[in-house]
Amino acid sequence: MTDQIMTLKLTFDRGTILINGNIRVPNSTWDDRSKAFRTMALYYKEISDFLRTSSFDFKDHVLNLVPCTELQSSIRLRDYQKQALDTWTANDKRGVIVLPTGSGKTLVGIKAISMLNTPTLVVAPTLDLVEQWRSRLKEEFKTEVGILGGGERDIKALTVSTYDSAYLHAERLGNMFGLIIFDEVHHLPTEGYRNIAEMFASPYRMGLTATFEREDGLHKELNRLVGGKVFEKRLTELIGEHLSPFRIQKMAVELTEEEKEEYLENRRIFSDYLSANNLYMRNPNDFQKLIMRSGRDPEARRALLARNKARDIAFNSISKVHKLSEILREHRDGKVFIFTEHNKLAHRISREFLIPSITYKTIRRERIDILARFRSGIYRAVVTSRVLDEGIDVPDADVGIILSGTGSERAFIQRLGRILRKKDGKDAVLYEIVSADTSEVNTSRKRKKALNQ
Amino acid sequence: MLTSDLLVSRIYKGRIEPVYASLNEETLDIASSVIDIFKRHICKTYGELAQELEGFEDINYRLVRGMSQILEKRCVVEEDSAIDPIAARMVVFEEAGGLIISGEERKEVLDRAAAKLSIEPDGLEKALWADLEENLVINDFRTIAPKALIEQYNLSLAQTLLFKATGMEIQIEDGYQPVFWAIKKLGLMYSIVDGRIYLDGPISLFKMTERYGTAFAKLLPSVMVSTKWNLKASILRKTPQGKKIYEFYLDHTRRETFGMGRVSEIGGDNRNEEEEKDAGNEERDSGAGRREDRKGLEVKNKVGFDSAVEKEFYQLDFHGWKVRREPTVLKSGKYAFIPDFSLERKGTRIYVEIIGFWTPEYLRNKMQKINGLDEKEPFLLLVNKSLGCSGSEFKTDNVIFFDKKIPHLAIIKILRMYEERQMKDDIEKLKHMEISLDSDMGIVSLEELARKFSVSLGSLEEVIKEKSKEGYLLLGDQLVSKEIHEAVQKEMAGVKKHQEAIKIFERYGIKAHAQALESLGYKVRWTGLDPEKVEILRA
Repeated sequence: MTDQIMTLKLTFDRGTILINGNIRVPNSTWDDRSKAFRTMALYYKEISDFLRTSSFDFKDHVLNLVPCTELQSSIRLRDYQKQALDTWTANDKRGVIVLPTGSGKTLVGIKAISMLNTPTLVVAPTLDLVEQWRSRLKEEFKTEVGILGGGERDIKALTVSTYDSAYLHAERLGNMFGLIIFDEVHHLPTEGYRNIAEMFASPYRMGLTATFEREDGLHKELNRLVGGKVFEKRLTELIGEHLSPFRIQKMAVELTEEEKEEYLENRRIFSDYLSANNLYMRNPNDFQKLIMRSGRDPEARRALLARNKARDIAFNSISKVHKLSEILREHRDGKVFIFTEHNKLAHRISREFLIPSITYKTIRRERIDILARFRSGIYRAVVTSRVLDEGIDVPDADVGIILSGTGSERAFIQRLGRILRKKDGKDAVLYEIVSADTSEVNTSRKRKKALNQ
Repeated sequence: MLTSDLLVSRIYKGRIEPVYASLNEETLDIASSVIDIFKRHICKTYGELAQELEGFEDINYRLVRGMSQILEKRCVVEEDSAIDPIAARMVVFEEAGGLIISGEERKEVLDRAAAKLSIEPDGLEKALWADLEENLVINDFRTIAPKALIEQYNLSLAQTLLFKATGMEIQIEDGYQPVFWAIKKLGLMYSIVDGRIYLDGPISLFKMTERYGTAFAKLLPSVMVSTKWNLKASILRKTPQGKKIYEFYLDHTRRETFGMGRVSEIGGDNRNEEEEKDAGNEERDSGAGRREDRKGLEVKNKVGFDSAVEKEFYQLDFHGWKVRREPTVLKSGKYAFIPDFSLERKGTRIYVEIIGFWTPEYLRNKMQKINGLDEKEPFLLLVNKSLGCSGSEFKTDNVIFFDKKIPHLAIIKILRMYEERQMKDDIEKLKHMEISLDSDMGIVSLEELARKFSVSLGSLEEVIKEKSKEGYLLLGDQLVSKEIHEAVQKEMAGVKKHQEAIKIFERYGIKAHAQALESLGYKVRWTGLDPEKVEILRA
């Protein structure tokens, strides 16, 4: 059998493409284990295009698309959204579209699905976003939508998945979708998630994000994985026109005497250890080294725990809770979203003010309920830890309160985006409560920088 | 398997190894203390347990936390509340409606909600947060012996290290079938060179990836079932200087570390992958659904047979030929091929494949594999006659058809043929060989000699008889030097009793007593049944 001259045949094998036959195609490597050429599924389009333009006779068994009804949506795009979709289409239906949070990235994705009318996988980073996509797609296309993640494994012509689940199931799902949309695509270039783009054969790819650039420079990988940046609209270009303006109010609170004492004591333990061991914390790498040390050296561990404790005090100060209650009093009629760094503080606020909380541990059913009740006005405030970092749809919030932050510029913009939904006559306010005289003040300064861009 | 922050490893000269917990008194003490803490917290909250463990962690926090992670899986936790916390919250938050900012308002809301739910306000406050992790109550805890905990901890360390493996190679002596089933089920790919199985996955061809690390970790318990095994894995490490690869070696000699007596239990430590491995380095899915579908990989511990015929074969006696089940893995093109049995005797090995129920397709496939073996090996095919297959399609002489029962005699005949063939070959080989003996050796065992020249004992005897060895006498299975023979002769002077003579022989290491007596010119005279009275006479 092996001696026969065979027609070239392409098949999908667990995230790769096997090429049987004696023509060497671009990007392929000889695999002695299977006695055939092999390539990453990522290159499917390139290879089939190459074979077609070279007029080779070949059998293409790669795609095995999920059976699909007509996918039509009559949604209307705003001018810049349409412009974004046109540029993407002109770029072989590949590439990344950069739009600020709140400017309707989802609509661009929906229109692309409708235009291509092909089974589509949407990949999103959090379960809230997965849920949001699911309900939007269901509404627009009047069809059941599959979910992958959070314990669910249901494949339909339109399926929404978390990055984690898409990573885990790429072997099996890689040839089942014509289009793959990566929401918050800046997550994709990390070492693990990159596999998703590499192991899916989907010829059409769209990336959506508000923040294309990564501090580690890995966004350059997106050229290969999705197609490069094809369209960008900046926040400042849209404010006033499509997004509501906003005002930022920063408030510093003092730690209580007791907290201050404990804070200083813990900082001292940390810095004493550093100076005793000639260590300097200049970058994340130095900190990594300290963590490594703490595995062997009990003193290093003590220092590390003290540092965490100090941070904990600064982030979760009781004074912040007092300040929060003041702000809440001012906005008794507003719709408020409160953000905390840690679950602990979110729970505390939930308990004290009887406000629903969403953390990464909140189960899907409850989080759907909470968000729906917030939208409909039954709840007027929600407190959440970092879990809602990415642009979740909370259309009616007009007050945002950040109780502690990561200092990351991206996270800040995205949280902000959540209360920047355009609504007539609405003046959004964002409060930021930080502790005075602690290292957290620096974190806040770092965050501010992002806004002045 | 542990979370990767709890992995303790040591790097030395390019090798990496987990720092296993040793089974010494100190560690056993720690283990039993941790187990005690868990036991004491039955009926208490998870938060209380965590707090006490935290206090205990200072001893060796990675060890204590690692053990705790293993013990957590043995706990049954429950919400301790009169009503469903989610429902309770919904009522309370709805009752609150807007924003609550004073203690009194808060109390009023809780009272109103409690009345609606017809429970006490205190009970409501408790129920409200009963599903937070720290408020969950430990209902039951399956305890474990301290030694077993340490062994499980050690296995978990090795598995956790394998998460970061980019490739793994293994060698096993038996138990191929379960290993290959697991390899297939886990979506791995293999190649086989000289009995070593090299494992990775489809994507590994293009880049170094940790993607298959979880699969290697899951495979480990089924590898460990083998009598003798070893593995080598390439572990990817991110260091401040960039990525580095270290080698991780492990084999059956470390069995003690993992307490391989409880393989089936170890096999149960294969938890849901979503829970084990972070795909990206930043974000995680929600914890929802975490406890669902833990896919345990079955490890077959006892010897199971595919058919009654195979079982029958395994129990037969083949006159000195040793039967081994699934003795090796052979490479046939891109396939791995595991013969059902091998029959082995003194360096000759014949593989046996029993073909019972089959379809033409199955048979064709089997033939292709046997004919395509990278290295030709003697094969014996036992084919069920009633299924009417013609042996002519096989490129091997050794096809035996059978009907219901294993054709024992026919197999023995074929084995005889191999024995004779081997003997002939050996004799031929020995004839052309100088059998040199070290001059200072008084007594040479033919068995050892045969092993040294890798020939059968029978053929060596034959050759020695034919061309006797200068300066040596052949006594039974031993060559005895003339010098020794003379020395024995001298000592025998005056010896009358048979038993005394035997003692002399034994002192010199001569085993064939009767032949020795004969060669020295003695006869045995029996004067009754008492061995003490047996005498020897010069002939």
